[in-house]
Amino acid sequence: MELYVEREPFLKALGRIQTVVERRNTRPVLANARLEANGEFLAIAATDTEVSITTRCPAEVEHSGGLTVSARKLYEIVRELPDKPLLLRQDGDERLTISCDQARFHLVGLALDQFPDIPEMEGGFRFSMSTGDLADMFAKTHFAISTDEGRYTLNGVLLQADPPKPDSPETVARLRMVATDTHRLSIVENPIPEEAGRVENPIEAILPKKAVQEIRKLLEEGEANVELTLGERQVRFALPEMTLIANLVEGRFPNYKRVIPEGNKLLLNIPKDPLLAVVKRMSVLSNEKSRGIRMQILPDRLKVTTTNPEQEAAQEEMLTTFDGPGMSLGFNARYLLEILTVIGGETIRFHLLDEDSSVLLTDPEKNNFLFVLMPMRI
Amino acid sequence: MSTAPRIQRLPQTLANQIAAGEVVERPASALKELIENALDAGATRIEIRIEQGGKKLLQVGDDGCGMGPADARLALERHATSKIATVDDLFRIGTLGFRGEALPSIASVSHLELTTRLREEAVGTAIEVKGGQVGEPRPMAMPPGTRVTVRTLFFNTPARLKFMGSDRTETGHCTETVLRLALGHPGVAFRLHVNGRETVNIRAGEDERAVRERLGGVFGGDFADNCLEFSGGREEVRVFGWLGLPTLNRGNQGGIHLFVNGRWVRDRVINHAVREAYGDTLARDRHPVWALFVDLEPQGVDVNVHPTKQEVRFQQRNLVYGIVRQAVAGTLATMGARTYQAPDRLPDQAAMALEPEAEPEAAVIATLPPAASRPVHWDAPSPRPPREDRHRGDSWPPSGTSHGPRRVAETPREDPVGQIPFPDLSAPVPPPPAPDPPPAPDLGQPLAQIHGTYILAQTATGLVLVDQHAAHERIVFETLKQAHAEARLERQLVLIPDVVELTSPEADRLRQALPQLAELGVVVEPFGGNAFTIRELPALIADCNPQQLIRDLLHDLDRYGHSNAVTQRLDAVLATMACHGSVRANRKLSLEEMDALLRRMEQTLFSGQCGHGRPTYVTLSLAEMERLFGRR
Repeated sequence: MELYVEREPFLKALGRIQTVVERRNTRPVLANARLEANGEFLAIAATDTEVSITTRCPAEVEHSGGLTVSARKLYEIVRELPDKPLLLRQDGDERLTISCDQARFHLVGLALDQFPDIPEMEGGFRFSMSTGDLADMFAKTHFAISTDEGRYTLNGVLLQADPPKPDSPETVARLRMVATDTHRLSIVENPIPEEAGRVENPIEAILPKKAVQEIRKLLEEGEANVELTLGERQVRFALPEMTLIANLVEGRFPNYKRVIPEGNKLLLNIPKDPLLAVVKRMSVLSNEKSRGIRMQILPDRLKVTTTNPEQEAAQEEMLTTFDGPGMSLGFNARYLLEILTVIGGETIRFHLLDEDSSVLLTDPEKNNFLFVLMPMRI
Repeated sequence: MSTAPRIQRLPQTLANQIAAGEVVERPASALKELIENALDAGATRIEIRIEQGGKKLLQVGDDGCGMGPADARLALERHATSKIATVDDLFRIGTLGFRGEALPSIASVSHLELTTRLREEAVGTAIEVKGGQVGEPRPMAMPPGTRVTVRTLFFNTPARLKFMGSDRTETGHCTETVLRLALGHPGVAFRLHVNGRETVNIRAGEDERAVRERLGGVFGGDFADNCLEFSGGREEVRVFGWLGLPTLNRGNQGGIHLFVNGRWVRDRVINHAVREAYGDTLARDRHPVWALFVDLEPQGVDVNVHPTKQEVRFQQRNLVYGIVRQAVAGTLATMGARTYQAPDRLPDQAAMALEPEAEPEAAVIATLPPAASRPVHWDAPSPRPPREDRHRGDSWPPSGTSHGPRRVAETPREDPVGQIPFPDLSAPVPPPPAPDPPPAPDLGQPLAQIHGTYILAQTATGLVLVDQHAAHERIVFETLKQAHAEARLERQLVLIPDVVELTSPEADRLRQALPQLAELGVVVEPFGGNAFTIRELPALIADCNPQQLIRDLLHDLDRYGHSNAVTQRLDAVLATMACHGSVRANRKLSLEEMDALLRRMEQTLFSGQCGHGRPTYVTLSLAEMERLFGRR
């Protein structure tokens, strides 16, 4: 392999694969990026065997070929180089020389055939979506993923493609994302464009947390559309310059539908940004680990209070109107903040039953997402 | 035609040899049985001789009640004993022995000679047994009491003989047995001769010096200066003993000596109670060093569990657990900042009361391994101190007086994070009598910080080096624990509750523990059959895996009848917070900051060791410094 690349697109491509690579590895080749001259491009790939990303940058290829070298060293070298063309030249199976301006680097890597195969998607349900919509769906769910590794089916986001209900006027299928850590639940959905074809049977896929983190980062590049393929064992996200393929978490996601409260008839609308500011202020003096704050709901106002084990206390009131009986609920401030941060609208609506039951949180302006939050006894 | 019966009754000798396999595992176990017989006979002096690790000779002589000729003959028969007579007696055993098995068992695998004389008789009786064949009694002139001489143990069971250790190993085991029994029987004098040389000589008596001798024998010379004496319990169950400071810990359970009604036994329930009381003053994989005596009515404890009688069963094990745990925890709370201090002098030979001619260190002190974990040890490389040094005034029980002037300290509080033992104690355990305020150590005035990590301070009696991170971590941890114990218990309700499927005995145990769990903030509800759901968790540990929590809990309940799985997890969270919230090494401290740290250490519980059981400070006395410079 011998080729010329421009520094900036090369660095950008290397940046996309950096976090997939595991720093500590029992298989040295997994710390490497695969480089391959391919027509007018340099193809770059990295994998931890569960999540793989392939990307490319334009190149002037003199000789074809390929090898693997340390992804981290390559990235750090290119980052520090001046903005001038780079010459990459392979010597034998394992050596790579990088030349740029007056600088030379000799890297020792591993041969191409040492690199694990990146799985190809076969079959699956394929459709396109706006990148912005998909990013928004992940933003509204990712924080509720459980960090308890013992509950592996909760260590990811459930992706669900449901056919339209037979009796509903809707004709399009919907993509739904769900995440829960058993204390709270996030659900968000968007229509799947009609041209994707019919979804005959519901499809379920649990995307592992690491894949969620990686795809969120790739979606930030702001391409217009992303092509999704939901398969039996894998999911693929394809963007013009990059593709992510992730193995799915095996197992069944719990039946989340039965914990969505239906009888919470007491409604409380609160201006979102002011509430976010109040909760942030109050949480300063909450217990630093359990983060408990209390919301006392009165007919004409909301009183937010907190105390901590050091006997410090804070309180603040907001004008609100509430038709139900006065009640007082405790919440983990972190859970509330994470929800308030991703609700786009001006108002958050609390659907309440009583002090000990789960609370439904929605945006009255939008009906494509909801949150269920379990209170805390304080 | 009927065939000859294939099942035969075994000859008595063979039956005895089989019993011997259980009771007499090695010379030390034979020795234990013989000494226990002597103790049961009311001896006040016991003379022991062993040769070649007990393999060639084991001899135990006592000045006890002795036996007449007929009894002596009978004592060599299996299941013949004077100690119990009826089944009822079996459930209120007041003697160490009762099975009537030891003597014939030993006799079946050795050449045994029994000589015994009743006090009121003028002449004694001697009987010889060779491999189980009992000879005729013959009269013999001797002082009152009994002497059993066992020669060539295991001569007729070569398989067993092959498993014997070296003479040195077996001697070690025998010595340990003698010292252990001596610790349990302060009213009896013990003397041990090994290969004709006296190696142990322990006087009878319960005065301070006698107790020191016995403790030193079992634990090594540094124990007496680094332990807390305690007593507690109530009428039915009395507990007392000595607890090593947490910084005097070991990697195995070799430093654990439990006596139930004077009998040395192993009991994991009590071990667990003591270990839990030590709590986070020790790393999880370290073991404390202690001697604990539990005295209760003989009916309250079943000793007929194991042939060697090293296991017991308590009728009210929860009650015993609670009493031991509270007594130990209450005592440790008086410790303040005390930490292990290497002996001020070489091991106190006087404590062992060895004859001056006897080799001093070699004998007793070498038989038991020393504490495996020794903190910094500034010992002077000087010759042995002169003999006059030996009796320098040491207070007993060890108190803070050697650590300088007393300061007024906080009254120790109850166990901080409500560790409620469960399931329910069958009877409430009264709180232990309020211990005296702990003698606060004097950590002196700070002089300087060394390498940004240690504080050097001067006290009235020497100098102190403090590990600033370890010390501050303990202070923050104790503060957090106290604050959280006093604060409301915040509980997170669970939206999607886990369901745990249990076996039926597990379910029963969990059902009994539910009210106590709820008090700790873990709300578990029955979910039909043997399934349970976890509805609420303490907010601090809301992210833990509740299934694992319940499993750990049940494991503890099964093994020990108690569990601290919840409080352990809470403490772990607080410990992490403490670690992040305390000053690190390589942080420069001003003199004022150092002074504040030392003063807070003096007032903080357990400030002598960090959360991992390492000492937070070490001292070097003037005397030690003088020795370093050859001034003494």
